[in-house]
Amino acid sequence: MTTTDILKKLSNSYGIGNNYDSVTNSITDILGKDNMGIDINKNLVYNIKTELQDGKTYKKIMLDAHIDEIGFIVTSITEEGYIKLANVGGVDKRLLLSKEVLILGKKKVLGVVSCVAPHLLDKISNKNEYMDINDMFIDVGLTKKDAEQLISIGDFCVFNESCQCMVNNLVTGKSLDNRIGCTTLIEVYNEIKNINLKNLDIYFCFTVKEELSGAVGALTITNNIEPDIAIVVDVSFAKAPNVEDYKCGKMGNGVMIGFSPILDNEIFDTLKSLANKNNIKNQLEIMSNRTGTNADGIVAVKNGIKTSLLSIPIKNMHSTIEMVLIDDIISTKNLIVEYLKEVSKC
Amino acid sequence: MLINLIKELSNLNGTSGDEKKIAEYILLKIQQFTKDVKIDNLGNVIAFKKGEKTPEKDTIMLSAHMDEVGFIVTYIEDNGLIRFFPVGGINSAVVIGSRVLVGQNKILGVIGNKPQHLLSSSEKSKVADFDNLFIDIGANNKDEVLKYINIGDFCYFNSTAKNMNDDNFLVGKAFDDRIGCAILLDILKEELSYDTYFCFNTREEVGLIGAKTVSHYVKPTVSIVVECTTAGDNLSFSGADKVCSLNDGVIISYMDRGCIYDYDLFCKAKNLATTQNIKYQVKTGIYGGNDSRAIQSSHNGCKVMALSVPARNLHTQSIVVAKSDIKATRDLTLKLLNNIV
Repeated sequence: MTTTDILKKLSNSYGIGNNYDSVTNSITDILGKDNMGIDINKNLVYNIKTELQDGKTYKKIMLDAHIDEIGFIVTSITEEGYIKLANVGGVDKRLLLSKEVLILGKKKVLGVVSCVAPHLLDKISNKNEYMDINDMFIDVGLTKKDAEQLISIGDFCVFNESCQCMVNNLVTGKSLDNRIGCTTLIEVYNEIKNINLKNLDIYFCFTVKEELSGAVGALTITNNIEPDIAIVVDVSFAKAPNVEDYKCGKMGNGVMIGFSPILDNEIFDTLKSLANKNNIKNQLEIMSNRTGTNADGIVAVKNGIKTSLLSIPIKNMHSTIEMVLIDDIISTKNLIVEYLKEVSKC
Repeated sequence: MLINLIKELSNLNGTSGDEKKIAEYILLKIQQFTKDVKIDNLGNVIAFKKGEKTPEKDTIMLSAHMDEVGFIVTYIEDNGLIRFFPVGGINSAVVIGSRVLVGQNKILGVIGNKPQHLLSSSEKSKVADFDNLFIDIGANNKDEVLKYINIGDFCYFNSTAKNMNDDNFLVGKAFDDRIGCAILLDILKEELSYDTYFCFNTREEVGLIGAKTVSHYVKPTVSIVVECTTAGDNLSFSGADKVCSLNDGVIISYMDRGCIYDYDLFCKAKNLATTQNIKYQVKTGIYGGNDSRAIQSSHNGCKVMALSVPARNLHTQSIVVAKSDIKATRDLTLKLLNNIV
């Protein structure tokens, strides 16, 4: 399977709220069922213990990528059978009108976010303002009675959009945030099987509930594993229309090596020099505060965890048209592999 | 089968001025029903089918338009972003976050916007207009873009027609007015009472242009336009503000923003619907317009009627219609056609 194929399979899966089977099944389809476990919160973890040399102790490395995506939750069903939703995670409301969604009820129910046709715009007093999600109606083409057979309040809902290739090795799809991170971890797992690493106890953690409540899944896993080093793989902003250069990375410039007051200085320096030494395309992402990723939670677990952040730049974050350059995922994978080789030497 | 015709037609791409693929499909399907087919200078398809009788004083026309709303590439920025404008009336709010196919090679592009985390408070509330939206195909500069597409290329929503959950509803793009075209094709296979012109018009969405030249040629004295029209029953509108509703039957028109329809035809249509048990409704507001306006005032004048399928989310990538309404529209169109003079 190519990196693109893996990303497509994961993007076309879903994971939100308490349903993660779709995405975890996709991952176990690819990586198999050996060396894996699922915890009480539905985090999926693969563990590889490499050969341990005499006199050495294991270095515990945790790689983290969150498997949950942004979406919605059903809050009510109207008398006419329309579904009302609330956000789960930071869905960009500007991008919703006329889009298809999938309600994860007793079965998957297709819905459309209703729009005012141009002919009727006169009727809307605030037609130049973006509609709030509370004011949106999801059309499932059912009466209230029929809808209630399939859908309950509290059911989750995701975008219904397939992952597609564009020109220039680009891919667009929903939930590239953070199936990109998951793809990276999968590719690292695939690659290190062929390398003779030593003294490493590596945990590939596909964690839940990052988007809504911040690192819920990652916290419990980190508590369990208590790694020596954690590397979080997530996505970040890429240069796009009307975005100032200094606020984002650039697609095509490789892995974004993150630094912020909460991340570890030493690991940052090591990652930077490894990237440059091995000609891995890279760019720096300097943040002045917390990072907005699982790293923010992981760093403060127990006595503290040395944490770093690697990000892949994407356009149109939190939409169904997120865009990524596959080469940037590969750069990220390569850097992690080089880092593991480096730690293996110690 | 009518629904399959609708799905196939709506999945084809053809906006105003770019209707060729639609015309080709229609020409292929018409062959078995009549050989009397003409294509005029604007690409309008005008077919003639003999009925049982030739009307003494009248020329009868049934029409639908082939074009859907779409977009056109207007300019390519140095940084590789593509400026575009709608062909026909599209609300910019529904276009943000869409995927489109650009040009002959159907290059996939996305229409994004500045990330919400980075918006100023005024930007956060006001809907971006087309001057502030771009198609991104992933090219890094203008030269790269030009390898794939050019200014003047047409762009289309990237949608595929599909059934919704209980099988009565369909969602897809371009039902306005591929449903009309499909109904015409479906009626063509019937034995007709009168000689009838079946016209598949171009450029309705940009000013009823095709209808004008078609009417000049056909010189109809009585005409039925088969259309899709906007239903507001899927939002917070109530009562009369809904204008019309899905599953409430074929819409028989008395007036819209362009046309006051022929009163006799209006009454005749309602009576036929009642006696034939065909569910029908009338719009509870004056909205929309169609080829009827152009047809009514062509040559020495023509009596016009429009029979329409109610549709939610008109002029977007996800129009929703009910099969029950499609059947009612098809049945009443045929009935009215056979009793029109």
